[in-house]
Amino acid sequence: MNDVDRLFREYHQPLVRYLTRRLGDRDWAEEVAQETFLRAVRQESIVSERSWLFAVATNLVRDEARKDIRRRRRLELLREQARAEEAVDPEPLTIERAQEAALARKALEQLTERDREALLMREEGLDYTEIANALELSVSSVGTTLARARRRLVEAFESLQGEGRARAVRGTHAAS
Amino acid sequence: MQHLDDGTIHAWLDGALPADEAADVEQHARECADCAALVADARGVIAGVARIVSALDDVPAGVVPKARPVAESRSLWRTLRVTPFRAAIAASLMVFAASLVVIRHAPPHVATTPPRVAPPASVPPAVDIKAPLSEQQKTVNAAKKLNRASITVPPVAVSPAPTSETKSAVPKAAESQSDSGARDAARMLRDVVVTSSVADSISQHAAKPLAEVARREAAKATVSAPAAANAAVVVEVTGERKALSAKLRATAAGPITQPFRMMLTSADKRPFVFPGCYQLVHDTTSLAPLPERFSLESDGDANARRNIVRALTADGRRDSVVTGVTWEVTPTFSAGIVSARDGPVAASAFGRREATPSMRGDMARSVGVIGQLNRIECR
Repeated sequence: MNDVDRLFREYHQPLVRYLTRRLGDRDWAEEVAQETFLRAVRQESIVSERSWLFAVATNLVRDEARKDIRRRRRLELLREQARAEEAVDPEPLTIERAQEAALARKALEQLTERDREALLMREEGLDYTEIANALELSVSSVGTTLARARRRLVEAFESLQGEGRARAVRGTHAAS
Repeated sequence: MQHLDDGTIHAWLDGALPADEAADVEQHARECADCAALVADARGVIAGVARIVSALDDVPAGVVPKARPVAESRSLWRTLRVTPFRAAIAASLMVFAASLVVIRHAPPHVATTPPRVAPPASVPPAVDIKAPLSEQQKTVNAAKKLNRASITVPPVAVSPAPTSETKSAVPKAAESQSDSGARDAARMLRDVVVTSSVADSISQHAAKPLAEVARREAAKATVSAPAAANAAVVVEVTGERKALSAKLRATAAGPITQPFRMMLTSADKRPFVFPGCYQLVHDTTSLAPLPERFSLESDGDANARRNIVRALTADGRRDSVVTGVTWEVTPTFSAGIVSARDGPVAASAFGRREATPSMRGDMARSVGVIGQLNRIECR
C-alpha cells in the first residue's frame, strides 16, 4: 500500500470527525478533508503527519470562513433542496439529541477560534506537541489553552441548558 | 511544591507532562486537599467536554446536494461557454485580424486608395437609374467587382478588387504595420478568450465545492493517455442511495442516495490503462458502488465524450453500463479522481461482499473508501 493509502486509512476518519464538529456540516467537512488530502499528496514529505493534516484542514476552514461565498451557496442550495425532492433520507434524531446537538454547537461557538480548535483537536486525540505545531502555539501553553477552553465550553453549555429549561418552564406556566 | 494551576492539572490529566513533573504533581495532589479538589473538578470538566463534543457528531449528512455534473445534452455554445457578448468580441477581433491580413496581401493601391466600407455581398450599391446606361453599367460592374472581392462580414475596410493595372508597391511600413496589427489582433483575441475562460474559471471555482476545484486542478490526463504506474482511480457516485446503515449492508435493496467516493489503487502494481478491465480485489466496505469486474472506458464522440463504467460478465464480456458512476484519472496525482454522474445507481449492478470486520458505520458513510484493483483481460 502506498503512502496515500496509508495516510487516508489512518487519518481520514478522525479528520472528518474533527471537521464535522468544527463546521457542523458533514458534507462540508468531507470536502475540506478531501482538499486536505490532496494537498498532502502534493507534499514531498511531511514530518508530523497528523498535526500537518489538522493544521492544513484548520487553515482551510479559516480561509473559507472569511469568505461569504460558501454561506451564500449553502443557502441557495438549501432553498433548492427545499423545493426539490429529498436526496437523502437521514436517520431521524430524537428531539432530545437534536436539542443537545444544537446547544453543543452554540456553546462551542462561544469559544474563541483558537480555543475551539485546540479543544477539538485534543478530543480527536492529538497530543500537546501536535496541537502546538498545528496551531503555532508553544507546547507549554497548550495545557492552559485547553483548561480554559474546556471550562468555558462546559459553562456555556450549562448556561444554555439553564436558559432552555427556564424558557420551557415559562412556556408551561403561560399555557396553564 | 506550589499549588497546582489549571493548565498543569489538565496537562497532567492529559498525560502531557514529563515523567518527573507528573510524579511531582501526583504526589502533591495526594497531599493537598485543595489541589485534589481542583483535580477532581478538572476530571469532571474533561468528561463533560467529551460528552458535549460527542453531541456535535449528530449532524445530518447529505443535506446539501452535490453540484450536479453537466448534463450530457448541451448546446455547443454552452459547452464552449460562448455568451453573446463574448461571441461579439471574438467575431469583431477575428474580422479585424482578417482585415489586417487582407490589407497586408493587398496590392499597392490599398495604401493609396481610401478604404471603402463594403456593403453586404448580397446588396449591390444603388444604381442611379437616371444616369446614362454606360454610367449605370459602370456602377453595376463596379459593384460586381466589389462583391467578388469584398469580405462578407461588414462593416470593415476592404480593398477594392485588384486589377491588372495595379502595381505592387505597398510600402514596407504599411506591410509591417499590417503584420503587427494582425498579430496584435490575434493576441487580443486570444487574451479575450483566455481572460473570459479564466474569469469563468474563477467564478465557477468560487461557486463549486472545494472537491470539484481540487479535482479540476488535479486532472491533467486525457482519457486515452495511459496512467503512470501505481496511479489510482477514485470513483465517486452520486444519485439515489439509502442511508448507509446496517440495514443496507444486510440487504442489497434500493438505489444509492448519498455521494460516495472511492479511491482505487493497483493491487498488482501494473499501471492503469484506459480503456481497461479490472477486478476489485479489496475494499474497505461492502458498499462499493462497483461490480466486482468492470471496465473503465469512454463513449461518445469528441464533442460529448463521457467516461463510463461497464460491468463485465463472469467470462469477461462487456455487459451493461453502470449508471451513476464515471471516472477520471490523473497521472500527476498519485490517486486519480473519478467524478460522479447523475441518476440513480441500480443496486443490481453492485457486487456485494462481506464487510471487513473493522468497518464502522461512520466510515462507510465517509468519502474516500479505498479499494484495490487487478487488471484483467476482457472482450
